[in-house]
Amino acid sequence: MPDALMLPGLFGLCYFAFAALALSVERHWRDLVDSRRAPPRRTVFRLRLAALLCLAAALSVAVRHDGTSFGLLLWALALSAGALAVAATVTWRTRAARG
Amino acid sequence: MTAKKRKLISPALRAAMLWPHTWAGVTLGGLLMLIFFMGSLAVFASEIDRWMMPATRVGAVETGPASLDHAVLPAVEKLAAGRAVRDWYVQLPDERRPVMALQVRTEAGNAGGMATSDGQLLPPVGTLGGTYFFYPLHYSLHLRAGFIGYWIVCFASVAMLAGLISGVVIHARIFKDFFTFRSWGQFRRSLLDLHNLTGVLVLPFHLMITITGIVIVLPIVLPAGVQALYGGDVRRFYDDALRNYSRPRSGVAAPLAPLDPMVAEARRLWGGGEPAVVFVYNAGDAASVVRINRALRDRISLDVQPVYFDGVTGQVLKYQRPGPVVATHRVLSGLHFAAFDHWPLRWLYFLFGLSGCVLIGTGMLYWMEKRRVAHGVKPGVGWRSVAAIACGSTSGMLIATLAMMAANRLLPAGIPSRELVEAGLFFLIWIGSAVHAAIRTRTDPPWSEQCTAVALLAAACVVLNWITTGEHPIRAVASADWAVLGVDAVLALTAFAAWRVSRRLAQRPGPDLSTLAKVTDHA
Repeated sequence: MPDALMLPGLFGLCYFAFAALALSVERHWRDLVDSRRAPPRRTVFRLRLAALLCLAAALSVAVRHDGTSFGLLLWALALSAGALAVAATVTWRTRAARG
Repeated sequence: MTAKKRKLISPALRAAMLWPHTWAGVTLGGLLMLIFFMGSLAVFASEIDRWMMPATRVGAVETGPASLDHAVLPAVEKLAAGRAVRDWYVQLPDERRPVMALQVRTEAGNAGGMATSDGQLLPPVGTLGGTYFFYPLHYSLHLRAGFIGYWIVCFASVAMLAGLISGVVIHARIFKDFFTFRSWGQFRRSLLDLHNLTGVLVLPFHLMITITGIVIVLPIVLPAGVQALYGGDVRRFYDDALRNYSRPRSGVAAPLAPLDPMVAEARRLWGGGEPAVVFVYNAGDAASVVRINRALRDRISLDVQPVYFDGVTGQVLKYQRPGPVVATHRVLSGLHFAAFDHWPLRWLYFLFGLSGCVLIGTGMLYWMEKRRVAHGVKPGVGWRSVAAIACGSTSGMLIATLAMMAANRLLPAGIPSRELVEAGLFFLIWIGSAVHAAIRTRTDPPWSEQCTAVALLAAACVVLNWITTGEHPIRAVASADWAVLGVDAVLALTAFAAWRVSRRLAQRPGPDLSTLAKVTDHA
């Protein structure tokens, strides 16, 4: 993977992983996707599987680019960054949806 | 399964965890705020140094000095100014500090200075800067005598650790609320959401940084082993643990062997890597010792792999890797120091350090909002003290920091003990803003006024840097001076954000006391 794509790729994967996890939470699903019913079980499973795959891919990107020690550290901190970005997005979209 | 989960953390356990969490936060919140904020600044200490020491903005250097013998030794002689040199060391230039930092101990006092990589001594910098003011404030509060500052900071860190863990136990809906920040509705609920969000999402970093911070000073705060084996002499303990080498002066004069071959030999022993610091002990003596430390930029561990040479013959005296326990300690310390060259990680450390400030600050604010119930519209002394501490340790600390940076650009270069005047101003202005907070706290601390001061000071810093050094953003981009540009950008961002906050706070209606009656528990 080219150097320039490493960071956007890593943070993007973390962001998507946590976005999928956020949608599998009933409150955010109702606020953002379908206010009438909770997410179907199969959807929740698929979202969580997607999240897991994204996190694994992010780890592989980080470790392959920065080596084991720096890669692990960068991945662990990128997780927090991705989760914070998702929380901000959820707040922003929910606020917009509420009018 | 839900029944099982409920049993795992019982309401009684939550209640038992809540009061120490609250008490630790309310009593130590201000101190922890200082530790986290100064720690975040310390991540960029070198960049702040470039901003505060304009003489050292000499452009990037590609490699270290061509020759230690030709570049460094004359500078040492000049600093010694004819006095007999006992010991000296030089920190070699690197990507973030393009100048050498020299420290010389002579028979009649110490001397220090900065020099360019070709050995030209620079005029005295006249400031402690990020490396010698903000950074020591982070770990020792500048109370070095008897390690008192270390003890206080470590005590607060243990309280932080307890706060983090008890916070997780208290948090009732940790997964349901994982991404929840309701910025609308009740102010109190928004505060708690933000407190939980920063506490949970950045928990890995906060746990790591708190634990490693404690681990670094363990030999100082758990002195039993050092007491038993080394009679309480911490220095001898460290010398042993880190495989250091020393020997007394012989009293027989002897010339120093050339340093450059020693550097080459050290490089060979390390199997690559750059020298970072060169120490010469017992200079000019037959028992002189040269120590060369490896640069840490390509690894997490803080193991500097010192190589010791005989200063007269140039032979290797000692090169020994630390044992497994010390090596582990070095890795944990390195995780905390972030001395490596990794810009994404550096920024993440900075931002997550500040997120720790958000965590502590929202905790104190949440307590204040909740306690309004007990205190009503006219709060008592207890509430007002916490409010004043919260204000003094957040906006007050920002004011003091920015005022020091503005003073750094305003004070004339020649005044005596300039660096101490700067540091004194920091503390005076900090005390002043805390007193201001205490006097002006009625139903709320003077957030809006202090935020205005922060905005004006931050903007003034950018402008003053421009006026006094001629380095404006466009020129910084053109000359690729990213350190100064970065500090200026963060200052400008601070000014903008603080201004917006102060305007919004000024327009905010008073606290809505009608909603206060609903609060029942005592957090």
